[in-house]
Amino acid sequence: MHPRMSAYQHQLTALKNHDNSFIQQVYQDCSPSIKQLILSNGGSISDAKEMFQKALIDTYEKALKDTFTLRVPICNYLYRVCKNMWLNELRKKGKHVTISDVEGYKDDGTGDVMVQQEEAAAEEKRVALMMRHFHRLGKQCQQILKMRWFEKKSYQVVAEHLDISYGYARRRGSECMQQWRRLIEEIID
Amino acid sequence: MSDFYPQIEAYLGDELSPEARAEFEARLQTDEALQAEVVSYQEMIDALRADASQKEAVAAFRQMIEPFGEQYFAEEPSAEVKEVAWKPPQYLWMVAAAAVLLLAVFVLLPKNIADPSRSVSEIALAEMPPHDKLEMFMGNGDSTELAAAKLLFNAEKYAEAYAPLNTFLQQNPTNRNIKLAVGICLLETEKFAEALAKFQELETEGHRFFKQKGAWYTAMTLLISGQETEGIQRLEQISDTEGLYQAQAKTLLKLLRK
Repeated sequence: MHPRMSAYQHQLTALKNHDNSFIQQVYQDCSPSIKQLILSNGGSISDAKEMFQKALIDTYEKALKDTFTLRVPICNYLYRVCKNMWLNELRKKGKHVTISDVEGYKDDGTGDVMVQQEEAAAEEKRVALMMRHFHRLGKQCQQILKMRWFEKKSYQVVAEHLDISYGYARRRGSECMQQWRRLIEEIID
Repeated sequence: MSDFYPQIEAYLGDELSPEARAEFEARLQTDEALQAEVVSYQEMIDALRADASQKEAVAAFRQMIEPFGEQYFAEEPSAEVKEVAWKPPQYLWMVAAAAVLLLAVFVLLPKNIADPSRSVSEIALAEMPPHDKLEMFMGNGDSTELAAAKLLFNAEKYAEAYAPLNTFLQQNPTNRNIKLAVGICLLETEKFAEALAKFQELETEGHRFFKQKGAWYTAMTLLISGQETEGIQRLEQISDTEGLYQAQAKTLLKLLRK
């Protein structure tokens, strides 16, 4: 087996594909233990819902990236992520920082889950860093680059949309791209 | 290096003619500085695309899961799993509401009010929400026997699930999840006295979540087994206390008092 493949990767694929019946199954199978975890540790149903939704969206965002591998069943993964998030919430509120697990849960996969989180985080940080500098560009620069490279519009369309000349749109596109690159390089250097 | 940019942009934007593209790629093979420039701009474009498409995808995903969140984390759990992917237009809700109203008038109302022969036990049984499924911790704690017993329980085969779950409970007497499941198996197979003993143990063990579960199932067992007065008293206590089953206890009390 390829070192990055895992028996649970199909669960990520189903998530990535917005597979309605799989997602409903995830709620049905995974929500009781998370509800129980949060309710047993000073939280409410609405806290449990918030933790679960956040953990699921976080897992979905990771599923969109090919760098992430799920090495434990998705319920165990969500449980662990929710536990970490709830622990942080309690710390923020200055409350007790120990948390009791749901009965019957034996956590053999904690370390693995944490490694996965770190691996995915490195790639996320790189993209996030680039995008942080993108958002330092002026509004018009951001619009031109998004239309040009995300929406894949021609400079003619960009010019019409922004009510500027074709020549100016083209020149600004080039300047904005290089300005963005300089901002990124300032940090890297 | 910015002198390269117009060509790089045309290359990355797939705007070069086949001849110009071939020429550019031939130059890329030998020109390391140009390679570095292309890689650098490609990474920026990839980041921009990944960020923008991810935001769109996440927004769609968030919208998709919201109804599941409402359904599975409701204060008062719904009795059945509903299809949530399709949202009907407004007028269909009105048609549905009218249909439900008619159903209530012609079917439910006569049954609850005009049919006084419906016993407390029958009402309690009919109104009892589905039991929580047992969480499977495959490869992470469950033995094969326990996993099989949980599957039986989750498939509502309570008579068959009882023995292996009870054996596990005897070996692990502090496992309250399994104690609750064993109690439910006993309730479902009408061994009321034994079921009550299990639920009352959960109530007295001091764990907040299981205390509430124990109280609810004690009330339900009392009502279903015909111990109406005690059952209603327990239901009133649950209805007066904020918790998992408060709303259900209130609803059930209203029905029982009709």
